[in-house]
Amino acid sequence: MISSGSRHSERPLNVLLVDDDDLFLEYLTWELETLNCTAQCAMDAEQALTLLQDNVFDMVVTDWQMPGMDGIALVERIRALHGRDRFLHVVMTTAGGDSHTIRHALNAGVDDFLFKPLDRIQLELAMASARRNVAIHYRLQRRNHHLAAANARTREAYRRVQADLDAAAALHRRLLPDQDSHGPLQVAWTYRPAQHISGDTIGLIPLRNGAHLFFLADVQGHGVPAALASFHIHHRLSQLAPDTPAALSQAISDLNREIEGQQSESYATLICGLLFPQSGEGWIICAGHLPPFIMHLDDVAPMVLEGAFPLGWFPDADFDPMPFQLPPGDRLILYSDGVTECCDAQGTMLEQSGLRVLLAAAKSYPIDQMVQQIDAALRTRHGPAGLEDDISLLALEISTNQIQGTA
Amino acid sequence: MTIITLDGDLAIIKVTAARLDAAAGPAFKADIQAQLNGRAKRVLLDMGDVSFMDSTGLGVLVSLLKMLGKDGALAVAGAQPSVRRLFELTRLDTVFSLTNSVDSARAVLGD
Repeated sequence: MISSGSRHSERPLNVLLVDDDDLFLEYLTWELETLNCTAQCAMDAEQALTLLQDNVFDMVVTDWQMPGMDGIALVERIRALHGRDRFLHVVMTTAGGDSHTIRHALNAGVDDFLFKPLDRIQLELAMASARRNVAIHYRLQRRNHHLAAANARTREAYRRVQADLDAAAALHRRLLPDQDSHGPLQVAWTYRPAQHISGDTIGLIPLRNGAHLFFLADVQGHGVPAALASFHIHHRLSQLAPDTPAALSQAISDLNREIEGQQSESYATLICGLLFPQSGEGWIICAGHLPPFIMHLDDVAPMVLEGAFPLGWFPDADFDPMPFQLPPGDRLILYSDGVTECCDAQGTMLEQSGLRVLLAAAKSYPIDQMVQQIDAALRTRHGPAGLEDDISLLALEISTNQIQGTA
Repeated sequence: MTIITLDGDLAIIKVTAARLDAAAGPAFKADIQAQLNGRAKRVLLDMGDVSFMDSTGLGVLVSLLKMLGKDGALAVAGAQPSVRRLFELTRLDTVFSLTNSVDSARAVLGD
């Protein structure tokens, strides 16, 4: 009775048999049981549909011509009820039939035919093919299930990373200068990361002796490693809070050695300085960074500075602050290379000269509007292509009506 | 993207990429590391074809310099103006010798 051991190690196929001939049903049930199937029988289409409602079958074997609803109509109903993703292998039994009718049955959703009178080999072939189909279907179903689970896990991991990045970006943003609480010192800035978080940072920190420590750092690279490094620089500068030129030099030298000691190949360019708003006196260190612009009433020009190495390259590098004077009404403008390398649709960079033109065009506006205009011009320039590099720009001005004594 | 010729302890590196940036930098560095492997003390970097270099590219050159160690020497030949400006901005022009041609770079390296 058992035709193949390996075949019978599989679970039995659940088969629904539909025929108005009870002798045929009995015969087929017996044959199918020898082929590792369990069969349930229906004498007409209505009974079959009821059984299908309450049971799960792998396969239906239905007669074609039956009183009431015929086999083709039954198959059409089953396919309509089940929808596309539900699998059911359907075989139609018939004593004959022209090709037109057989095509009609195929269109209705019949997978295979068994011709009466049935012989054993025909039945074995049909059942082997059905079994393969069912097996493939269940394998696919299992695989889809695993894929869906894996996809859900990936999506959850992505959501968590995204949430972490959002939190890190918000944290970094909170370090950026307050726009309106620096007494006579007016400040405006723009800060836009190319990716979620930025390797740029901007700081303006009021010190006890009345000076303000200002800085703009740009860590090489983008993304999380650069952002962590720029966070570190920001934090250390706030912590060291140098308030004299000598302390400033020492603080930058220390920071340089710290970054170099990390052995990470990370480095940063930095502009950092002290500004005393009451006197307009300032000191500035330019470590491998683009020189800031000084904006007078009638002129915009890059500051002429003796530069120093970027931070993190050479542990014994010197960082000597250069003195400068910022008269009331003049502006000091620091920016990252994301600004000067901002490309238009043709891939042409803004360059320092382009930034100078933008600044000159906006110089009669109050400092916050001037920065807004530069920011808008940069947005227009890079367009929908997005940023390749982080953009940051910090503008400082000592108010002309500053005699309020705040420091 | 690089052609490296070894001549005793002198390595001549011709950078054939037009951009030495975040996209090309890491491969360039791996290439140099694999090929030099401690065999060169003096490096001549022919950068005539490089029209753009960013902070990552610059970082690679600094790690190349560090790879050569204390007695190492590095000369750059034919840097285009934008690349030269970057060297000057970061003061690397005080560490590397910037020359206009491969021949003068060879001379600077005492070859």
